[in-house]
This record gives sequence, structure tokens and C-alpha cells, in this order.
Amino acid sequence: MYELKKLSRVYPKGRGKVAALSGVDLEIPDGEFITVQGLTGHGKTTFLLMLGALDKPTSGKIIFDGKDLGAMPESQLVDVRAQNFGFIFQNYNLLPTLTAEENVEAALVPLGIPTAERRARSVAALTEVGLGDRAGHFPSEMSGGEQQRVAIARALVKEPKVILADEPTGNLDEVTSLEIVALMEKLWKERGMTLVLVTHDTKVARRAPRTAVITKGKLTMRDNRAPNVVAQGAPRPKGSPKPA
Amino acid sequence: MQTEIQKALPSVTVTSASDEASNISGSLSTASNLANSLGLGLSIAVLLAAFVLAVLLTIASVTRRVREFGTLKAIGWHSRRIVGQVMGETLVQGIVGGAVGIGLGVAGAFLVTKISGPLTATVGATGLGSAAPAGFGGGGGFGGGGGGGFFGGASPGAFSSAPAGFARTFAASNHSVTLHMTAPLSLAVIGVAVGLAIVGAIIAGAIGGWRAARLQPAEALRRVE
Ligand SMILES: Nc1ncnc2c1ncn2[C@@H]1O[C@H](COP(=O)(O)OP(=O)(O)OP(=O)(O)O)[C@@H](O)[C@H]1O
Ligand SMILES: [Mg+2]
Repeated sequence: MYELKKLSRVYPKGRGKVAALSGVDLEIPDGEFITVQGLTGHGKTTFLLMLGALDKPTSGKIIFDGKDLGAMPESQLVDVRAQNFGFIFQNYNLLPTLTAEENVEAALVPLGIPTAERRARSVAALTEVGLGDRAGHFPSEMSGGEQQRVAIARALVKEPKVILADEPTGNLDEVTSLEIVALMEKLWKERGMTLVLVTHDTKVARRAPRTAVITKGKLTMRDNRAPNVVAQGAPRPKGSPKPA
Repeated sequence: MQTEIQKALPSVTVTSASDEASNISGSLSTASNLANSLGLGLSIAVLLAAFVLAVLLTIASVTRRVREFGTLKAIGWHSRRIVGQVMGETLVQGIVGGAVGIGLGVAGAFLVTKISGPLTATVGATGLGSAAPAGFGGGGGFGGGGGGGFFGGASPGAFSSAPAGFARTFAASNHSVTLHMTAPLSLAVIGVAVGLAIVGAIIAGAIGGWRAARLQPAEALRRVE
């Protein structure tokens, strides 16, 4: 579970500064699915990098399972990342020189799992995303949708607590996008992981109970089950009806 | 007769056939010396250029892979492990590239000597004249060729396949420089070539690895998006 307290991230820009995130207060309970929306350059990626312990706040706090990520040294953050976070990127970010199976396996390497088990788990994860027969193929031999499936397998193979996805369907056509989102939702439901999904597509965004809307670094929560209510960082109302 | 002509035309220098012969062989040996030292200098220059180029190409290819390193950090790899990976790949590619380069060089030297054999007796045989190659690369390998004077500097890229089942790369980068007409080979030359390939790979790997390690993960991921 995440607790963000007055979290800000300021980048130097020319002579001035730009607040990519400012004063974000938010709680994300374990197992929640939230989507993130906002215009280009308003801070979505920065937000995700914070949640993934890949960047540090300039002020405020980000606490994950009781650990203050901003105060931890890189040497410990590496292990937190390896154990807890699965990342999915818009550009898939597969390693071009590795096969699908090796790409998935790369996520298990830092966990010190024996080779045979790594292989077996990687093949199982690929099977789960529907690519069991493509294990030996290189990224260049696969379509965008297939590459993103490999990336999903890589994110879930270590059974992380949290999956962080930055516009995972940004480069895909509508049909493939829906398949990918449906796959992620299915995995989220089955495994009870926390899922944070950045998307430009409002239809996709509304599939989650809550959406974080980021405008010029400020975050507001939108409750998709009560579309007219906007409350900052408020917990979702219990028992409110799902939108049609 | 020589004296007669000289009497009639005092200002003209007359050379006899034997003088002529000694003159020609004299200038030939001068030319040969010149070609030797010129050849040596050129060889060293080309060799250095190829070496520096190979190191730079390797560093550039490591830099191009910055986002890969960012990805690895995002999935929980230690910088240490990433640096080790980079250095390992570079070293293996250096050795493979060096071996291919030497193979090509030796073949080239053999061919040159065979084809041009009796025609070119004198020009060029310099000792180190042709040392050679450094082959290395990360992401885009670089195989320098040499060994034979004919290939003087760098020659065709090497296909390299790297460590631990990771990284398969193909390199294509070549140019050849004609320096001499004969191609001497010695163990010393090959030794120098092997040494250079390995030293170059270590230098390039260390610089590339150091760059990869210094990167902030967020920065690495945002690069080339
Ligand atoms: N390393 C950096 N240095 C300076 N400014 C940065 C840096 N990284 C991000 N920014 C700035 O921070 C702001 C937020 O960037 P961010 O990438 O989080 O936006 P985003 O919402 O993900 O945009 P997009 O939809 O285009 O992906 C932008 O104004 C951007 O220019
Ligand atoms: Mg972004």
C-alpha cells in the first residue's frame, strides 16, 4: 500500500524550474486498480516513476508498505524494485538481443532464482499471456501487441505486489489495445496485485474504479462509479453503482 | 668513346652503362628505404586510427543502449550487474572481433604474397609494417583486420555472439588501405594485434560500463523516448 504525502518533484528547466508533481496526497490500498490521465507533459510519467522507486521526490514523502522510498539509499531501492514492482512501458522496452523467454527471465535474475526455475516460470508466464509458442522468438520477429504481451509476462513473472504501466497501449491499434487492457484486468483480478495504468483513452480510464487526473503536476481523484463527484485523494465511496 | 664525347661536349655528364646500373640500384634502395619508413609510419597511423575508432564505436553503441540499462534498472538489476554485463559483452566481442580480424589479416597477407609474389621484390617489407587490428564492440561489434600489410588498418566487421546467451550482434564497418605490396607476418605482429584487441575492449568496456552505472534510472528511461 502506498501513502503519498505532499509529494513534489521539481526539475530544473533552463534558469527556472518546473514542478512535474506538486503537493500530491494520495493513498493506494493493496489490490486497487487505478488509472491515471492527464495532458502530455503534465506529470504522469513522473508520478509512475515515483511509485516505482525510480525517481525521488524533491519534497514530501512516498511510503510503500511502511518504507519511506525517498529516504532509502539506491542499494536498498534496487531490491525493493526487484521484489515488488513490475513495469510496463509504451515502447515495450524489450531487450532486442534477447529472446522472448530471456526477456522475461531477466526479471528473475536479480532475485537469485536458480536457472531451471527461472526458465520454467518464464515459459509459464508467456503461456499465460498467450505466447507459449513464441518463447524462442526475438522482439524483432513479433508484432507490437505481441511484444507488449512479452513485456506483461516480464512484469508479472516475479509476482510483484504492484504493476505500473505507462501508456501500455499508446502504440497499438484499438482492437489490440482492448485485448491488452483486458489481459491486464484479468491478471489484476486473478492475482490481486495493485495495478496503476496511465492512459490517454478515457474509455480505458473509466474501466477502473478510480482515476487520478494530473493537471500541471496537481493530482485529483475522479470516482468513475459516481462520475460527477471529484474528491481529492478521497477513498472511493463503498457500494456505489458501477457505470453502465 | 666516352672521353671523346666528353671532350666535344664538356658540360654534359655522360654515364656509362655500369654507372647507370649502380645509380638505378642506388635510387631503388633509397625508394625501398623510403617505402619502409613511410610504410611503418602509415601502418602505425592507420593502426592507431582503427584502434581509436573501434573504442569510440564501442562506447557509442553502449551509449545508444542507455534505455536498455534503464529498463534493467526498472526491473531491479543492480548497477553492478549491468556493468558486469556490459564489460563481459565487450570483452567477448573484443576477443571474437580480434580473432576474426587476425584470421582475415592472415588470409589477406597470404593472398597478397601469393598473387604479387615475384613481381615485387623490394618494396615494403617492414617489420611491424602491418600490425593490426582491434576488434570489439558492444551492440555493434567492430572487427579490425590486419596482420597483412595490404589490409594495413581496419577491415570488415566481425560477427560476434556474446556471453551467457545474451547479446547477439552483427557489425558492419570497414575500410581498407593499401600500403605495401608484400605482406610479412610474424608472431610478434599477431601478438600485438591480440593485445590491442583485448586492451581496446577493456578500455571501451570500462568507459561504457562506468557511463551505464552513473545513470539515474529515471533519466535512463526517459532518454530516447
Ligand atoms: N529530466 C527532466 N528534466 C527536466 N524536466 C523534466 C524532466 N523529466 C520530465 N520533465 C518535465 O516534467 C513535466 C512532466 O513530465 P512527464 O514525463 O511526467 O509528463 P507526462 O504526463 O508523462 O507526459 P506524456 O503524456 O507526454 O508522457 C514535463 O513538463 C517535462 O518537461
Ligand atoms: Mg509520459
